[in-house]
Amino acid sequence: MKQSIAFELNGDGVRAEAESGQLLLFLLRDTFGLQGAKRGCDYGGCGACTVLVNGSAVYSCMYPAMRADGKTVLTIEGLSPGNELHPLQKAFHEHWAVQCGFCSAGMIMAAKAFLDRHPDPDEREIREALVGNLCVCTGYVKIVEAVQEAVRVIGAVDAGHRGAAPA
Amino acid sequence: MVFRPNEYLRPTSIEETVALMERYGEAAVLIAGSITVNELAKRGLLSGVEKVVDIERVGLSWIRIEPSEIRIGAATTYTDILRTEAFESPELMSIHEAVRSIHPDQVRNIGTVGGAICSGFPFLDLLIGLLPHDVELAVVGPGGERRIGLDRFALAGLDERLDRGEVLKELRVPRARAGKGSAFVKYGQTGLDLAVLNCGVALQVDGTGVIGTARAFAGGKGVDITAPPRCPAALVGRLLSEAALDAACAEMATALPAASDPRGSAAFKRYTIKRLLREALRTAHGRAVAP
Repeated sequence: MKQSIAFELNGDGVRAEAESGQLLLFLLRDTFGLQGAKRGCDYGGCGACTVLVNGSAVYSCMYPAMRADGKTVLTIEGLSPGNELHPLQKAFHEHWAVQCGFCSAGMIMAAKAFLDRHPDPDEREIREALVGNLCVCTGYVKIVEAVQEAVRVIGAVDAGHRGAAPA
Repeated sequence: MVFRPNEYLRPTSIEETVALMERYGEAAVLIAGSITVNELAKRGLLSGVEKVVDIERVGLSWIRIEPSEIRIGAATTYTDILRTEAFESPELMSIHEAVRSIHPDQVRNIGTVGGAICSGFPFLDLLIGLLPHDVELAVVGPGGERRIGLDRFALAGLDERLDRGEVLKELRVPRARAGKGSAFVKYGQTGLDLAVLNCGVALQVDGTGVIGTARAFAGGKGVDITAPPRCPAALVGRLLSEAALDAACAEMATALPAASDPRGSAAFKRYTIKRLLREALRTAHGRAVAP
């Protein structure tokens, strides 16, 4: 049976009819056409389907679509408004952290959720934060370097904003 | 999709949840975090289920720190536990360490305390981290609320734990007296691995260094936690010594009800659990006697 849900998707209020057993991944891909989150392992082990729900990283392949009701959902498509890349996306591009690209959206969303709570992590913390996202191409070195670069860029932007604030 | 329930129900009170579970019985499945149900559904094991009862809106996600105990709502997530400083105290550290060993954040953010207990998987770390602490469960059913010790609940067969209509409401973790230390140790093969073996221990030590109580539990893949080895009696009433540790760990390892599987033979598991227990007991003791 389909049931109505309403939630915020990438900044926009949306409504959808979700099946009782449907998972968020398939609602995003099939109903909304957002194909950034990938269908990988189906069992919450590869991380390719990672999206943010109320700011927390979740595997959308094991998250009931019905649970999105009343929440905010952020996918890679909504990470940066307009044509400008988010610092994580830019760093992944510039540091060759993308090879086949299948894991990249999930990897970036997991990193985004982590950096939102831990703005100045060390390398070990970054590696631990991404342990739920598998990449079979890069060997992770470039991915970790990209996240470290994003930390520097985001930190510099934040420091700039603080400096510009009135005393 | 093999899993085709015809209705997704979202009760807003525990009474409503109990009524739904009583009405639908095995035609309904209750989800808190949805991890276990998802695993079962994708393997085609929930094909007869018609109703999903999601307790997210029941309001069972909370941690209340009271003078004599910490109360944890059944829908509290692993992430909530990790962010609660009280579980990083020496006496409750096995709970914190158990959750720390669960990866990744995507699982911690939705996995719940109640799910870890009710799903009954012997390799789930939080259950083993909680067991040494005399935790009491509050279960609500059609006849009202009843209390049951976590150890009795965990040792029951899966079908015997909850009667029709019953729902786990909360856990009550006693706050420790001085001189208690606990620890949790896990053996897995990768950072994401479920436990091949894990153990949780707690020791109470008096002012002279004598161990008053010792509780230890071991789990893991292929370990029957419904038939646990005895607690390390060799430690009780004595000062900690290498000989006492050897005797206690050997006693538990010998009694470990482990089965051989692709992760390791029963003999390997008994060999390894002895070393894990030794590490956990030494760590817990160090925490118990630390000033």
